[in-house]
Amino acid sequence: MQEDFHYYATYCAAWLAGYEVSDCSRIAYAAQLVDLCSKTFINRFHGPRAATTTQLKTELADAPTDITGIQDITRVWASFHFLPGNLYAHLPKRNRYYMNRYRLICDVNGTLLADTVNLARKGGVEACGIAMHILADTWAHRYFAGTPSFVINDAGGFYELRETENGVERIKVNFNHNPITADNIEKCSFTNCLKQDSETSVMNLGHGRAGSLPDYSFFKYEFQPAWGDYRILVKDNPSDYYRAFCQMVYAMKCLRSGEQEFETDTYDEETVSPYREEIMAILKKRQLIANEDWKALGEKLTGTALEDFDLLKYGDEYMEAEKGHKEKTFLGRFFVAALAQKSMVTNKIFRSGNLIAGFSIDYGTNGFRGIEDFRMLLEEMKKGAMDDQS
Amino acid sequence: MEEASYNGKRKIELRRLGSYLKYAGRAVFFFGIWDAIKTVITMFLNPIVLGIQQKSDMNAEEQLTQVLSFAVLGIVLWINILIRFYIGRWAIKEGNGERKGLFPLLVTCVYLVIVMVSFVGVLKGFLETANMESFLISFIIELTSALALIIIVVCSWRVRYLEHKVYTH
Amino acid sequence: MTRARRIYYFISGVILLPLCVLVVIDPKLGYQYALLFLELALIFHGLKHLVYFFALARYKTGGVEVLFKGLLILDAGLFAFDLHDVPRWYGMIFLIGAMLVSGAIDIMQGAQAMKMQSGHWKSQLAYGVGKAGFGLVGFFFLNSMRLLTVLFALGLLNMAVSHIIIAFKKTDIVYIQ
Repeated sequence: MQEDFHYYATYCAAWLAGYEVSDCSRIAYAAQLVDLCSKTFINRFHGPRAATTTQLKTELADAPTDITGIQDITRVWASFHFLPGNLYAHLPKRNRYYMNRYRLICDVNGTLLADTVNLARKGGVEACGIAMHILADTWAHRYFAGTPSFVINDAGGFYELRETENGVERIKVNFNHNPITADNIEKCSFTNCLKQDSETSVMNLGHGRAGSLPDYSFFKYEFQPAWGDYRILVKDNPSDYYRAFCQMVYAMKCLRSGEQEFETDTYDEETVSPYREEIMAILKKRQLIANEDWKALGEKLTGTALEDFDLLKYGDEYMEAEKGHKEKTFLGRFFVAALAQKSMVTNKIFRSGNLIAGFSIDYGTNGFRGIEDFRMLLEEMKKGAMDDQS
Repeated sequence: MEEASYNGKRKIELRRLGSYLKYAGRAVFFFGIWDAIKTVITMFLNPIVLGIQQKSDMNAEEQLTQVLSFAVLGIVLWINILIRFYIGRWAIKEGNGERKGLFPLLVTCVYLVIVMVSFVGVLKGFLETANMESFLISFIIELTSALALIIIVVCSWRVRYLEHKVYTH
Repeated sequence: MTRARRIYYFISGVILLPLCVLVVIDPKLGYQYALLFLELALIFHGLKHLVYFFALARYKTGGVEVLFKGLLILDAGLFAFDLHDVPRWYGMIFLIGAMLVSGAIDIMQGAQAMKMQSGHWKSQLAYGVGKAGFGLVGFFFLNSMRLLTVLFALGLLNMAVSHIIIAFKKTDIVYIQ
């Protein structure tokens, strides 16, 4: 998903879930920051590098794709953008090497999603924002995996299913590999990643072979994924995005209540229904990005102006905070929440018997002297446990 | 258009077979190009052909016989290459859903039989010379050639069978 | 480009440099080593594809493409194996032909980089033109073994220098986030 949904739509959903306007802004900011919190961003503020939630193109270009490199890439992308749907999926006649990749395919309403949202209960609005980003991305990025894999993430046979006056028209999608040319909606011409039959090429990470199609809310299309065994899948983005929105409202209500456990496959359609027509109009409008429309809706809902996303908004607060107090700033809490999320997902993948995201050690229970960054997380966890006891 | 209407068992099978036909067709096509290159290297640039006028110990009749035999061999090899191109192109079209009747399929079947017979020649050569290295290399090369043809024949028959079932049920 | 790939390019460039000198000083020995280098690379590449197919790609939609690609490359490598026992002249044709094909592929990639307005299209195109050029000129002088050897050595030198340069240059990728 793009800024229109992660920032503006999340803002609207947060307000509908009952958050104050100021909290809505912070949740929306955190949700959008997940797409921008790279090593480059963190280095700027001398933050913990393990808290990266994304990798820029330039970082990926030089990322090693040996075993440890793949594990590093998978930890980031599977934790924040392609949350696995079923870590214990089973397919007949497949070997372990294949299944390790297959089990990382992102899908909606997996147990990991419930774990993600329930984990965010221990954090503040920053953790909530991260969880909402991940939730939304499970709907947009489903059917692709957050690890470089040609046998999983390759895809072909793309056709747009466009609603016209004469019914549904099936239009072949044309892809080119020129990043300079903009996507052309009317001619159905888009940019995607070059086909690389090397298994661990970064071109085979996520939905690169589908271009930006999963991120366009108006696009309904069919395609054949590499793992689909010649099945054709239909991806109805307008419908999926609407369900994502309703699920976000429900999830944020759970988080706001503090006590209610998040359950998968539950949507707060009742709260959203008065605005359904407006939302569907935005989602179905054929445009590359819907920032203005979502912003207008957000301002209409809250009655206040909604500022545009500013990446460096909380940078000064973090830089000016003294050592030992940085965790109390917005970015500090964001980093801790990101570390917690990455730890949780890596641990779950490891416990399922899959080493593709690397090893995971329970630092808390085993008293390990772990990576410096994760000690920050451990200290926060200890503080949280002490607060619970008192 | 719902997913269920796309993903009936027979439709999935037809898609799988179509994909195999396309790739096997491309393989036969490229093997044909590769064969053409090998033919040029081993046949037309043979020093005997190029230096034939310099051989002084052969009379005119012997030279003519040699030239004619090379010419016939060359023609046969090029026909072989053209057949591969024909089969490859047809298989790609079959894979894309175009049906061109049974004739190309019969040509493929006959060609496959010829390729299998050449296996016998390779085996015979090995038994005569006991040259394991040469045998292995020739065997693997012939095998790769045959594999694509076998896939084309099997998939093409299966596609016709499934489509016949669709129309008659 | 990954670190492993950069190391591969650097090492292959370093190996090719003495090889091109050897081809000029002792054509017979140099030719044997050059042929060996090429056939081992092709056979290894072909086997890699086959292993990949049986481990993973056979489960993939359209994965049979990997099988055929591996078989074709393996076939080329095995054919090169056969050339050790034939007159050197055949082997030189094969090596020059391989250089020509490799150069043509580089030219296509350079043209693609040009379309993408990548900053490196000129060097990539020049590299491909150099390789293909040596290969093409070689085909016009098939009768002269000495000239073929020199052309092949120049081709190897071009490859060696280019590989070393590639190992140190920045790369552009198209990646959709």
